[in-house]
Formats: sequence, C-alpha cells, structure tokens
Amino acid sequence: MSGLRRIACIVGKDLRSELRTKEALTSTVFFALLVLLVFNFAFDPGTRDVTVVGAGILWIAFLFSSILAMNRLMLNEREDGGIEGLMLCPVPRTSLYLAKCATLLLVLLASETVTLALFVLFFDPPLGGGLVELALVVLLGTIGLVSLGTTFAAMAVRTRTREAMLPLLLIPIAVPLLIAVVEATSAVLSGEGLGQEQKWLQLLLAFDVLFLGIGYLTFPAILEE
Amino acid sequence: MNSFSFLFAGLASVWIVAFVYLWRLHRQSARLEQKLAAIESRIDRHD
Amino acid sequence: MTARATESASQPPADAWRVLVPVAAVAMLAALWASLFYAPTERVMGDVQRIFYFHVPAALTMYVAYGLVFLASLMYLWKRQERWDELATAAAEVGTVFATIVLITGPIWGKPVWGTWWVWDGRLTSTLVLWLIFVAYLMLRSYGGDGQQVARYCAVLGIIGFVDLPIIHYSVTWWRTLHPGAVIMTEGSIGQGVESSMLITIVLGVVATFLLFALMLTLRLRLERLQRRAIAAHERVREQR
Repeated sequence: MSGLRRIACIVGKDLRSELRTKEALTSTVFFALLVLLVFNFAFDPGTRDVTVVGAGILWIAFLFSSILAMNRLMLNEREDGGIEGLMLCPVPRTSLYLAKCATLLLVLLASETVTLALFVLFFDPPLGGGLVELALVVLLGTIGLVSLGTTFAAMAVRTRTREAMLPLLLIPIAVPLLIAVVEATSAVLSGEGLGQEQKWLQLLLAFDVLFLGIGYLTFPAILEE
Repeated sequence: MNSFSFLFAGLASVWIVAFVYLWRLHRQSARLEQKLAAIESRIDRHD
Repeated sequence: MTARATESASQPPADAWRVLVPVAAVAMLAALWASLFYAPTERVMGDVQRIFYFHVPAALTMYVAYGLVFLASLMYLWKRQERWDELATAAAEVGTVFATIVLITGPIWGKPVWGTWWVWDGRLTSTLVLWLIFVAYLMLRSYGGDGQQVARYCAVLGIIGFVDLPIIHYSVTWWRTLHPGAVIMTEGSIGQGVESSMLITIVLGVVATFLLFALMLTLRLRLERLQRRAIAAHERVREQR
C-alpha cells in the first residue's frame, strides 16, 4: 500500500466511527447554532449592518465549535487505547498527523456548511456572487485551525486539565489567522469581494503552509511514549 | 496627575516586579535546598 | 553521589548569581540615575518619556528571552538533553516577567501622552498576544504531565509560538492600518534628533536589563535544577519504602 492509501485508510476508519455516533458533527452544528442565537441577542444584527458584525459572529461560531470537535476527536483516541493502536500501524507518525488533520478538516467543513447555510438564512448578508470566494476563505481558515488544532488537541487531552487546555493554547497562536479570516470574510459578506483583500488570502496561505509544516515535523515528538 | 507621578509609577513598577520575582526565586530555592539536604541525607543513611 | 557531582561539574558554577547580584544592582542604579538626571527632558512628552529608558530595553530583553526559548526548544527536540528543557523553562518564565514589565510600563507611559491607557495599536496588540502565548506556555508547563511529556509538548509550543511572532506582527499592523484614526507611534518620533546623552542612557538601560535578565535566568535555572533533584529524591524515597 502506498503512503497516501494508508492515510486514506486511517481517515476512512475515523470517519466511519464518527458517522456511527455523529458525536462531533451533531455537537458542533448544534453549538454553532447556539452561538448564532446568542449573538443575535447580543448584537441585534437586524437593526445593524450585518456586514459589520457578521464576519465576527460567523468565525466565533466556527472557532468555538471547531474546538469542540478537536477535543471530541482526540478524546476518542485517548479512550480505549485508540492512539496506541494507531501507533502500531505500519505508517510513519508524520502520516498520522496528516490523517488526523484530514479527518478533522472533513468533519469541520461538513459542520461549517450547515452553519453557513443557517447564517445566510438568519442574517441575510448582501453576499452578491461571492459564494465561491467565501468558500475559499472558509477552506483556508479551517485548514489553518486544523493544522494547529490537531497538534494542540493531541497535547491537551494528555494534560491534567484535559480539554480545558486546548482553547488556551490555540486562540493566542491563531490570532493572525482570526484577523485574516474576519477581514476577508467581511469583505466578501459586504459584497465587495476579495479584490482589495488579496493580502489576507496570502497571509492565510502562508499561515496554513507554515503550521501544516511545523505540525507535520513535530507530531512524532507529541506521540512519543 | 502630572508627568512626573506617571514617571515615578512607571519606574517603581519596574523595580517592584523585578524585586518581587527575584525575592520569590531566592526564597523558593533556599527552602528547597533545606528540604533536599534533609531528604538526601536520609537516602544516604538508608543506603 | 559521584554521579551527581560529575553532573554538576559540567554545568555553569552554581554560584554565578552571587557575582551577578551586585553587578546587576549597580548597573540598574546607574541606568536609573542616567534616565532621571543625565538624559535631557524630552520636549513633547516631558518627564514621563524617561520610562522609555526601561520600557524599550525590557521589550528587547523579552524578545531575547523568547528567542532563547525557541533555540532551547529546538535543541531539546533534537538532542533530548534535559538541560535544554531546563533552559527553555527558565527563559520562558523570565521572559514573561519582562513582558509583564513592558505591559505595565507601556500604559503608564501612554496615559499622559495619548490620553488613554490602552490603544489597540499594532505593537501593543502583538505584545499582548505574545504575553498570552507564553502564559499559556507556563500553564502547559504546570499541567502538562510527567517530566518528559511536558518537555516535548512545551518544546513544540515554544517553536510554534516563536514562529508565530512575525505573522502576528504583520497581521496586527495590516489590521490597524486598515482602520484609520488609530494612534500609531512610529520609530521616527523617537529616532529623530536623538541626542548623544539619550543614546548613552538607552545603551546603559539595555546593559542593565540584560544583566538583570542574566541574574534572573541563573537564579531560575538553579531553582529548576533543585526542583528536578527534589522530584528525583522523592522517587528514590518511594522506591526505598
């Protein structure tokens, strides 16, 4: 089996076990819905311009629900010796990183699609024809979150504070990512498009490549026993 | 408040933070050294 | 006993801090004197500008300390020697002390000059984020689990945190320049028309804070080694029972 096939195998196993319970999917979608509800009360975007607060609301929903999913998927590995089993697999530890990233990315993209649909339904932003651009921003932003989240969640579930550690590690490091996605998303939501905001896309791309690289190289040091 | 009282507050904060931190390091080290001496002498006697 | 003796022989002398105490104290007092009496009063900002002679050196020391965390983290992941982990622990904590000094003196300087304690300006924001990253680092240190696991985790976080620095810098600068009306403090307002006495004072300030940093680092390293010896001794006691 080639390296890619082996990674696909692990991703397939993780996705099957996720689809059996749908724990991560349902909890993230439901949580994101609650965030949208709370921010609707807090900011009342009905009376205010949704393009001002919309991007922030959307990404807070994405960020917090992704933290939930990261912890869920990593805790599954911690229970019943899951990660020990994976470490016995004939794949390099670095491939385990890519497999975990891919699983998390697919789960998050699925839940974000639902969240995004609910967001458009509730707040009706003047999107224009920017759906493709929005999808690009969401994809790049989610890859960035996933690249850090896989590393930090693998650490956090093994600390004494368990899940509580993940947001403390993730959010400060992800500040540049959050600035970039919010700026780019609000440009798209206001119907202006990304024409003026190329640099945020470049920043997102650089962030993704850099932290996927570091995560790939350092994951073996995290799994070591 | 005039410019000078802000200056005083700023400089004082530098010295206070530095002093408190150094003092804590010193106190903790001294205490730990005592405990260690006691434990290690007990280990040596046991050996 | 012999093993312990040879181990300590390869490390810097444990009493280095005793020499550093008077040296750092004299340097800090000299820098204090120079900042108060030798340097001229700045025309626009007045006396409060003298905080600058400690604020900027503290910021510089903070970057040096966090750079040291990065190097020690890389070395630990590569060599797996405990002393690199000890160095990373000590440098991270001392660096955070200096970051705290920067974050306290900054607003005290900013209030009379800008009229507010805090502005979400690029430099202030990135310093705050940096402080948060390393506070999280110290929390991971205390809750991370047993010795080797926490050492590996912290090394990874130390590397990620340091690599993140330039990205944070660019993102918050771009973010701020997009929003007009922000108070932006440029290097130029300080750099232009610097008198030589100001320059000498700032150099003195840098030397003094670096010596203070060296003192804190050696004391923190000494404490770290004592703590590790105490943990090892406790384990031996448990074995004997």
